[in-house]
Amino acid sequence: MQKLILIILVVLIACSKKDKDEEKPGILTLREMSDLATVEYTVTKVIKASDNKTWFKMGDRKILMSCEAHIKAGIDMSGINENSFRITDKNIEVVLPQPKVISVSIPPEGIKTEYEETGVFRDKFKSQDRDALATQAEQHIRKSIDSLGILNQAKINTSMFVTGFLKRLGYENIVIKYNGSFPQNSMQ
Amino acid sequence: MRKLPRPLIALLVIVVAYWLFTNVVVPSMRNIFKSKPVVIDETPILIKEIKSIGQLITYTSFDEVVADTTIKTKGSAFVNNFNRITRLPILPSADKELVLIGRGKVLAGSDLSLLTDSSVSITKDTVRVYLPKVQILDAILNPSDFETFVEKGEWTNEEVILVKAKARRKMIDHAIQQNILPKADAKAKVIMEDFLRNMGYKHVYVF
Repeated sequence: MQKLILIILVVLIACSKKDKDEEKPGILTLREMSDLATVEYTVTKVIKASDNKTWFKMGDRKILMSCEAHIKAGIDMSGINENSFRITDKNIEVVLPQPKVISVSIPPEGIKTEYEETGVFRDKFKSQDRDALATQAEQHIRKSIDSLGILNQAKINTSMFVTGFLKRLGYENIVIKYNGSFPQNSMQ
Repeated sequence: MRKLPRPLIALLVIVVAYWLFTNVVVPSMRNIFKSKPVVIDETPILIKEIKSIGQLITYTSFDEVVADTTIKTKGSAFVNNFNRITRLPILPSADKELVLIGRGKVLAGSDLSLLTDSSVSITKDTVRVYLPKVQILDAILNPSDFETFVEKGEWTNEEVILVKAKARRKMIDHAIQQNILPKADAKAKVIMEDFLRNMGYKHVYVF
């Protein structure tokens, strides 16, 4: 009997509701940054949806939209300090922080309704409905960022950018490394 | 094993039954008449362009703005005239109205891709760098950043874009009013100075 009570209690605790909504930052302010964005990907996605899953709604409605997103990646310059450089005459070795995604932007003008079909007994898609669908697309894009290879490209571009800058400063042999990785680029 | 008293078992059974009724039976009955969410299909993401940039982002302004627009429809004139005659607003307005709340961010900094050979000059342990002028590099208002507060009438995608563009302009104006550009300029100089000093230059001048 005691075991039974224990099982019931465990079930009750496990099934208790957990309301965890994703919250937007509560403080709206100016914030200092030190990000150097070196690559920008422009990606597109087709948003396809059919609203025919609700049994009591007569007829269905379909929508086909396209969206364009801009993803920027680069490095955080605050991670560079005096230990990041090794200099001998015209030779320089720089250790940079690992690249990161800096921003994801889906501008409103990048979202287009390509096709819409609404049944006789249904309302057209409202602006709010279209935003909800675009929000799902935004989440898909955010989840797929790793597979786009943007961080590797950011390494290549950052190396090129820093190399170009150091050449302007007069260095001839430049080696760029990233924290915890092999040399990314070496210019002789 | 000691048996539990019957009243305690009965109480336990009542508690479990109540919990099942309120948490399982009632919600599932409610869900019968609830609209199912519209879920988008899985579609591939295509890379359209890969661009090399060199933006030094030094300040971000997080902001919340409200943008609203009212558009007169064909029925608006009739409703307005009718309400004028009756002197009381009997008919509801036929205007289209959209009020959006946007929570986004404005990024400011310097576009270092504009640096040229003449932007950098070195004399022994002294370096001078002329940074490109700071600017608003991006104003980000994604679909998830918008909340529709009021939506009356049918709004086309193009009409909504105009309202969202208004929100974006407001956000940029707020950021400029908060002196984001001078602050971003000062921070860009500090970052460049730190970078060059860490390289070993004793006298660093960033303009």
